[in-house]
Amino acid sequence: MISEGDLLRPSLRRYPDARRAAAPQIDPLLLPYAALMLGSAVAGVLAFYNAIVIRRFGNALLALLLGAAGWICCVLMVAAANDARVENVGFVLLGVRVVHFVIGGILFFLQRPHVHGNVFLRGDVAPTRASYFAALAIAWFLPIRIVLVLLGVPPGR
Amino acid sequence: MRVSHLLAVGQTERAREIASDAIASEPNDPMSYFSLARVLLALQDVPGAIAAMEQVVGMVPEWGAGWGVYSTALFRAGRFAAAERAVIEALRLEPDDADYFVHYAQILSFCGRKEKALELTRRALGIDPDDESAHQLFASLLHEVRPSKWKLSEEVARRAISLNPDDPDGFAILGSILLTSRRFEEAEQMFRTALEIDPHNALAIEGLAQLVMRKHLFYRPFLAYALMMRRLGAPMQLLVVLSLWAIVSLIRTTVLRDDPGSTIVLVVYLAFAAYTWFAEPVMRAILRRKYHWL
Repeated sequence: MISEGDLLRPSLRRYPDARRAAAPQIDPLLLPYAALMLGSAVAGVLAFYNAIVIRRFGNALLALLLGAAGWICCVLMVAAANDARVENVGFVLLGVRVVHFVIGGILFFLQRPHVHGNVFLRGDVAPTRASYFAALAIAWFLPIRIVLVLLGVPPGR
Repeated sequence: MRVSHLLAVGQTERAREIASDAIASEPNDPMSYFSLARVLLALQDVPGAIAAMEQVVGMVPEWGAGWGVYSTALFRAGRFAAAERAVIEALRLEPDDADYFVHYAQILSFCGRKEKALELTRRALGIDPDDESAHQLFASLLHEVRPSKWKLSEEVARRAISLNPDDPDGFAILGSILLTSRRFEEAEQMFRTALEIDPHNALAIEGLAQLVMRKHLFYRPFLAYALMMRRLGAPMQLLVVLSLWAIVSLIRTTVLRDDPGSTIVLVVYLAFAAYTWFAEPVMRAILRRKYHWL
């Protein structure tokens, strides 16, 4: 039960106004998925695109910074594991992917209300399922060296 | 009055001319701007309607209806926080108007504040027990927020059906209630009525799936999983698939390594992930097999 005072207290102060996108946006659900498969830098670039098409420049910059921060964090993780002579590469990669996924999750929550607003104003969003399969196909066919670099594993490690 | 009549009969361009003429002849009359805003909303000129309503609330800030229409225009423009402030002002001035509660609930519902939206529709029904849109919104929010409260939903669904016999959700909700009380044939009839009105009614399709699950054990795991995924929604489906992927990867890299079982685990996981994505069409195919009228 919500009290009378709370009922008429504004609760959307931080909810962003809707803006219609100039080009189709990418479903924010794809961001954690792209971060997991291809790294947070790729997810950051996708989120940057999403923010640019609705002219949210602060959000765009934040997306790029988050993506870059995730990637740098993973480079440091891999370097630390290498220095510590950790032999189970799969285990290190799993940790790296978790970090990327978390960054992708943050990007999802940052972008969700904006894309929701775009849909409300009848803006376009790229088909979700097709986008998933496209990301899966890219991750599948991309040379492993490139995928590793995107995930934050420096060449030669 | 004349503008309202023209809007009601669909002569929006003529209504706009009259409203514009009224502003030209009496530029200090808030009603002229109010009429123009309503015409502009009908014509989908939302920025124009907002500008007109800013004039109205500036001239008569103590008029609830002005804030109400201003809020509608702001909501249509996607300015959710401003729309909320405007409707709160309307409610402060006219706390007994059920329409403002419903409108506020619609704004909050869209922005994901379902609990508060449910409470607002409850208030609207307390003020006007015959408000059809309040019944519809209450029934749908109650179904989302408190799926266990079928008793209350039944009351609302029966009332909603009596107020609007063309509303498929009312029949679907009632069918679900009858299903929980094991009145299968009546439930099927309700779902059928709902689907005759709206062939894509999600609630009725879910109800039919529940019926099949109760009657046929073989389909139960497939339909139960499909229904669970449908209720979880796309974000949670993704989370399920990804969490399992993480577990499978962990098992493959740490326990199985080059063991042939590693491939089997991967194949099982891929089949599971594929069914997660395609559970919905599979469920529909099973329902069509069982209910040929579907």
